[in-house]
Amino acid sequence: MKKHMGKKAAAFLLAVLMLTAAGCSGGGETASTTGGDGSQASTDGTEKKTFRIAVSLHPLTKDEDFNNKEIYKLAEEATNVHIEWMPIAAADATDKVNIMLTSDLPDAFLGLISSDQIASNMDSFADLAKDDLLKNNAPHVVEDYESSLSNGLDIVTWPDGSIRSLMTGPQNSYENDAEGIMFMNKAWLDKVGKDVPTTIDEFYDVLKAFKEQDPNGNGQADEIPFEPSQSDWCSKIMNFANPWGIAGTDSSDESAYMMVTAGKVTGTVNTEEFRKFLEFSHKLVSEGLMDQEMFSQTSEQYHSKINEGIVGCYYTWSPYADMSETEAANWVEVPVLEAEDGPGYVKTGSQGKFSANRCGFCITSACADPASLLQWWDYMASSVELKYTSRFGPQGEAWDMESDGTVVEKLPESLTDDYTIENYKYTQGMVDMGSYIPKDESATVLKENSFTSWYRIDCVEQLHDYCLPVERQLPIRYVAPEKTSERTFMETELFTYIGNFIATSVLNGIDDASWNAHLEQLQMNQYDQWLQWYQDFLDKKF
Amino acid sequence: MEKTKKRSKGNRMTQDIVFNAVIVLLLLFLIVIMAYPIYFVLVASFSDPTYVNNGDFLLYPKGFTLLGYEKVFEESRVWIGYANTILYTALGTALGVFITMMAGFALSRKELPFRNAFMGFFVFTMYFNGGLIPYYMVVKSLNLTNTRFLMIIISAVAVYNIIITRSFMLSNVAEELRDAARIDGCGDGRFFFQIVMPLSKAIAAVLVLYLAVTYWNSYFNPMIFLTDRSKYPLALYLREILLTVSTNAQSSVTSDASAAAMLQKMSQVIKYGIIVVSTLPIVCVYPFLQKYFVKGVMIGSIKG
Repeated sequence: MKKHMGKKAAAFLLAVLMLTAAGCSGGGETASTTGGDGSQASTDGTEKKTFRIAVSLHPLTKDEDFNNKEIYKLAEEATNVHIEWMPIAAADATDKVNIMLTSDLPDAFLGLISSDQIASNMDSFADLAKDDLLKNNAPHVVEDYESSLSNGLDIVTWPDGSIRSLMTGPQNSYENDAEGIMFMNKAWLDKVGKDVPTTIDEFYDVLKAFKEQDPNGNGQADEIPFEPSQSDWCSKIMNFANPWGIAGTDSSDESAYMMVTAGKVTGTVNTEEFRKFLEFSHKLVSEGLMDQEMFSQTSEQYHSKINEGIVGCYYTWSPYADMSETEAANWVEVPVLEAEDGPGYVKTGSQGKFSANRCGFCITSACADPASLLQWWDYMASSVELKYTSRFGPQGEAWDMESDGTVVEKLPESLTDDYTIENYKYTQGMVDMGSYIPKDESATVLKENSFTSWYRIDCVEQLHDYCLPVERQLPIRYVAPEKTSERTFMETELFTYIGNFIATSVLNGIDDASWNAHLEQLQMNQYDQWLQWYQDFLDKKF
Repeated sequence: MEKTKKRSKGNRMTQDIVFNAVIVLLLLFLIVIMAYPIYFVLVASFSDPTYVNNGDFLLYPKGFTLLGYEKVFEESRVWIGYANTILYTALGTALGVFITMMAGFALSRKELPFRNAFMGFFVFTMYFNGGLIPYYMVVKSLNLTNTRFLMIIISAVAVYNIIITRSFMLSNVAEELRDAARIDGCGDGRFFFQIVMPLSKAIAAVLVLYLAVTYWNSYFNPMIFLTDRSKYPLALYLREILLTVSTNAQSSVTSDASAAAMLQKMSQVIKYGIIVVSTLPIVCVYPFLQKYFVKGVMIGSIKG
């Protein structure tokens, strides 16, 4: 018995010993791979430079090794720079990047950093303006910025004159300009014998008919004629203020809380038009024409309602993104809705919207040799072909170049049900994390190659003129971090208040007393100061 | 007289029945409350996502499909994650039980010098810690970031576990045993392995369960410290898949709505399947350890 126990104990000890040994070898292995600003000898005898880049990992990619992408193979060959990628999934990004910023900087970040993070960790990023680092090492990048933008390099320059990041993605993407678009169930419209509405009164009649005439034909009054939803990015309630001349430059509710008119920043949520919009919305809710769950439902609930065949109209990017092709073909765009008592229809969205990410590629202060890394980055911007290779993968598959030099999007042949065009793009290319692509190099989308993308563009064309023109948009530039925090400090309370006010007014209605109380509350929540901040920004006071 | 006696007996019987019935009903109610969410996940994993989101079913799968499981098992990441989780759980639990038992035993012996000071030092860490960033920097300066070794040792010692082990040993391993063993010529090491360990099976089972569950579920430490995705445990993949849609819905203002929509569909299909797949093993182990579990925690808790 004793002997037996002794054996057991010995076996246990041995197990622990092995465990420690296994652990040690694990540790050793990583030490050798990450122990490197290390260099490895390349075939032609020169030293290969190695950099560590933390990169955002898109969930649709089917290959997590970034060095398998065509563009990085080409770049490594041309510049002798080897990249060790550290992929970080979007779900972990916030926690992980914040830790990295304070204690463990890689050589660069790709697609993970926001301008706020730069503002609050300015010294963690290399200043590319210093000693003309950028101009000397990335001539193609500089050339692209200066030829395509009126303010050139200023777009990435901070008020102290430093440049902490470079841009990724296309300058413009036309299909983005219009944000969420209203679509209506055409089959239902035909059933109730109505046309696509163009005014608010017609819209009301259509909704009423949807509600009362059982257009889905199941004998139940389960129709939801109008389904906005706060849960999704482009279906928010402020879209519906468009008929009253209230629109944001993007699809967030907050961007519609103020507008720029003839060089002046004006409030929207203190106007009579805003009140009319709320009253009309409340009328729809109280008659069951607009879903009252719009403020509380989750994205899943919202989408299942749409797919259930009980919704008459809603805001979306394109019905083809929400349902099967045969069902999506039943929907029709509602481009314009005029309110007779309003100042004219304005569509949420911006004409020529700037869509590049200004903080896409950030070299950190931990990088020992930013010049080489810049040359590597510059190589990928040195020709249109390379830019598109970095965006969509190898030429001739998801894109190709016509004889006149324009780029056309295509469908590669390798697609299957489990490997769609989206998988392809994120596997072979970097999509919006690729090189900056100026407007005049934008790719065209042909109807026969990609019907759904083409359809979206076609829809945008119908209402593009109603989107906010350039002179009604705020300029794009960085401001000093303390100025930003001054604004965000005001926004916390203000936005919560306005959001709640909209929800209660739409659901419970509004009278003179509550409207006046609202105007007072706006004062107390520093609405005027908030508007003044933007006015000063517009006037270039800081 | 006879009659009234009978009646009162009958009354008591009905009272008992009513009492029992109420208890049973209450317990059943509790069981339903606790078990239904688990059951729901199970059923949802076999159902068409559309019905799940509508809340269209209650008791049995609607639109039966195995698509979710197909997709889950197709993902190579799931298998890698599984292997890692099992590795971390098995080795981490073994190490943790070993260390905790030794610490608990030592701290329960009255002859250990400064034992109260040691205990105070341990307990101190339950109330105060350096915070995430100093923690990270310590680990980094030890060159342990991004290693499997770290994933194994990082949760091995929990002060709470040491305390329950110490209490258990205080009451179950008498000082006199030590004396008797010493007279027979038994040293400290042998005493621990041959006498204390076999006497402490109950508390060891508790530790195994606590530690195994901790390791199995842990996602935060791996998320912070691992950069190499081939070392990720299952819980981290699970989290990634569950959070994918919400983070993407917010950031998809930069174009690609079709990609966002596709993700949404993918994660809806896969969501419940992966929850089942990742929790099933630990759920299966639980009943076998439970008998020790209740016993062990109770013994440990009597003396503070």
